[in-house]
Amino acid sequence: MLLFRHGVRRVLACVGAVALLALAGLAAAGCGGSGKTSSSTGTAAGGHKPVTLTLGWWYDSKQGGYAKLLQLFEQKYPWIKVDAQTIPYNGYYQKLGAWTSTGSGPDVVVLEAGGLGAPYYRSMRALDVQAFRSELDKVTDPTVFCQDYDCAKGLYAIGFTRNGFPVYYNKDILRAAGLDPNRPPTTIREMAAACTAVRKIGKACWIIGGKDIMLDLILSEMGLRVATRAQMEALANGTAKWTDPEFKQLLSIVHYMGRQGWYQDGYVSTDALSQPAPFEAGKSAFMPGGMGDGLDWKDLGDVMGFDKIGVMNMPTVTPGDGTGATPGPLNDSLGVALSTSFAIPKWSKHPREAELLLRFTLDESVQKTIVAEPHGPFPGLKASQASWSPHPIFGDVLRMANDSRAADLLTYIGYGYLSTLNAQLQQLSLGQVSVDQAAEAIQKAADAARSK
Amino acid sequence: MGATGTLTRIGQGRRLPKAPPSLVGFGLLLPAMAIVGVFQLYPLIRGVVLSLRDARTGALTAHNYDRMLHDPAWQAAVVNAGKILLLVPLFVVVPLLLAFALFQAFRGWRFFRAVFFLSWLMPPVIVGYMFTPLLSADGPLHSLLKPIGLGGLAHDWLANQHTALWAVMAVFLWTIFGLGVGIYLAGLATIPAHLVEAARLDGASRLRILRHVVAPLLAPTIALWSVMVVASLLLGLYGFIYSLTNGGPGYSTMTPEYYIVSVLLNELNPSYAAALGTTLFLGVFAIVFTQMVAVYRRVVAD
Repeated sequence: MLLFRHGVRRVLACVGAVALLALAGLAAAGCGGSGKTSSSTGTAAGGHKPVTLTLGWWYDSKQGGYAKLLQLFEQKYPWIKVDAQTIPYNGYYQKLGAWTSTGSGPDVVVLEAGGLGAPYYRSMRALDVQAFRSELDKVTDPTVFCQDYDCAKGLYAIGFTRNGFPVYYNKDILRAAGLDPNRPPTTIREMAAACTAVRKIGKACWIIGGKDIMLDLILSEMGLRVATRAQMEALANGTAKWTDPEFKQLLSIVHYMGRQGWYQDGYVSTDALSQPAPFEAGKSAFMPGGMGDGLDWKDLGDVMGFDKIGVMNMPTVTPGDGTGATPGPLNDSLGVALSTSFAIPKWSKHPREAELLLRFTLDESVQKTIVAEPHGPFPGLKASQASWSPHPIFGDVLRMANDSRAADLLTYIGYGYLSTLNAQLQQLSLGQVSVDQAAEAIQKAADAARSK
Repeated sequence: MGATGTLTRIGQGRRLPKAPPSLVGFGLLLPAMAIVGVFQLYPLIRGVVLSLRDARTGALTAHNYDRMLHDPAWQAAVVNAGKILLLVPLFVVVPLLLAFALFQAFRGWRFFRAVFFLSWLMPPVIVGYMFTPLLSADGPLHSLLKPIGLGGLAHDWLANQHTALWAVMAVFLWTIFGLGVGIYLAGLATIPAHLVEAARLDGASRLRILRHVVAPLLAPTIALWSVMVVASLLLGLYGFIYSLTNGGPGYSTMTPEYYIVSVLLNELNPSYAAALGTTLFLGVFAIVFTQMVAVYRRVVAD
């Protein structure tokens, strides 16, 4: 018994010693770990655990304004590292579709307003509008914001930029063609005359990437020439049809632009990303592009010189101009909508850190810094931002954005039947199908997409 | 008595019950069957079930198959697949001729063998983007053809609905023929040299040797390559079409596989995509199975 007791004491003593050693080891490890974190992040004192936030988008994450956004974010929140996965825009929504199908992907994704982003909302976390209100008020017009995002139905993304598709032009080519670079063509009739003049000097008139999306974007912007916002909403919800007169008129405009030879040879096999190079090289007079999302004034200005490029609205319809269209009430408007918007998917592993990034994009000083960057995006949310860039063209683009009275058509209808739309627009502009045939085919695709 | 003797005695005295040979065979097959079941049959069955579901409600329905019958894009894709299959003889013969030429072992033939094979090692998307400017109206091909009086051939091959599909096929042939040459060369190496030599001594021309000596002996290889070509033409064009034409102009280069991916990822409609995928699978299976049966019969007959 004594022996047994003696044994128990020895065992207890051993256990105690081991426990003490373990505690000491843990303490040492803790101190060491703390010191290491502190030295690498400088904020471990705040008790933050290092987090890698994955982000899916279509931007260059190594250089340019969006890279700067991430860099500034990491500076403000040093314990968060953003691992951005860049997917080219023409494949981005396919990738986003794959992520939503599998329920896994990056912690933060980008999407666009209206029908473009709407199919993915069910996979995104609902955001509290009121919680973002103060930040939103500083950098945007809340009415515009909630018009694009329909805040009453729930907020699923925070818009960072507004985008539309104006037409950029090469002032030198216009001058050489005998046109006034300070007064570019504003109507389809004037544009047809300008194209004739431009072709006479051996240049292409418009350069477009009609292989993937540019014809859809042209159609989308021209939608405002003949349709009202209510009609576009009706088309999106199925109460209006592509075979209705105003949308047939829209298709006839696209048909007219193609058949009149406005575009360069081979435009249906040119992808959108290959589009700017010939324009920058002075091979064409006009190029439709974005406002601050790539193919935009800043990219073109960096290469061609900001004084060489001008920006204008898509040409408007006038009675008897050959398109067969009747001008609608928004004829002279440019369709602009919130473009790059950040959303937190339901599968996000770091929703708190993701929300910090969303809030950060609404910081006015951050937006101002980014506009000053080469290839910087274009928040374009308030007219007062015109002073943020020394280039007058920025003010022109900003004014066009703030003069807009509706979003473009694609923002309403989304990408649900984009492949059919693109195929029909290609055939229509090449003269391979009639307006009626295209309208029927697109409507069938729209019905099928809606019945899904 | 040694240990061997003891074991022999035990073996003689206490025989273990013998499993029926079929059961043993089944047991040995079980791991392979499990792998096939989990990774091939289960996804296949799941795909078929998904194709019979309504995308919104999940209810069983034949709606997806009904839609397929009236879908102009799918119809165009199937017609294009038919056109593409007309090119199978070309895809079979061109590598055969080149392989036979290399088989003559002329000076530097190894270099050409390596060069031919290189194109197959390039990713389809890269090949597509490489050929896009070449096939455009103002591309380098245009610049080469015009000065030699072939300006009529220089137009935008990918932008014309009548030429786009054939242009894509030409690019695909450029990519895949090296693999065919490699396979044919492997087959040619198995042909006894004395048979070719005997034909040559009898005064047969190269073409007659190819037709009457080499081709019959190479029949199993030709059959194998034909099956590979059919499967590649129906299931392996996605990268080329994505980078070259995106299915256009219109639907002129839309193929069934390209359309299926488009429905899945653009329309976000997995049920309809599954219906199209099931149909494509059955179509490819029927064609390849028929080919295989024909090949088997030919080999047995030989």
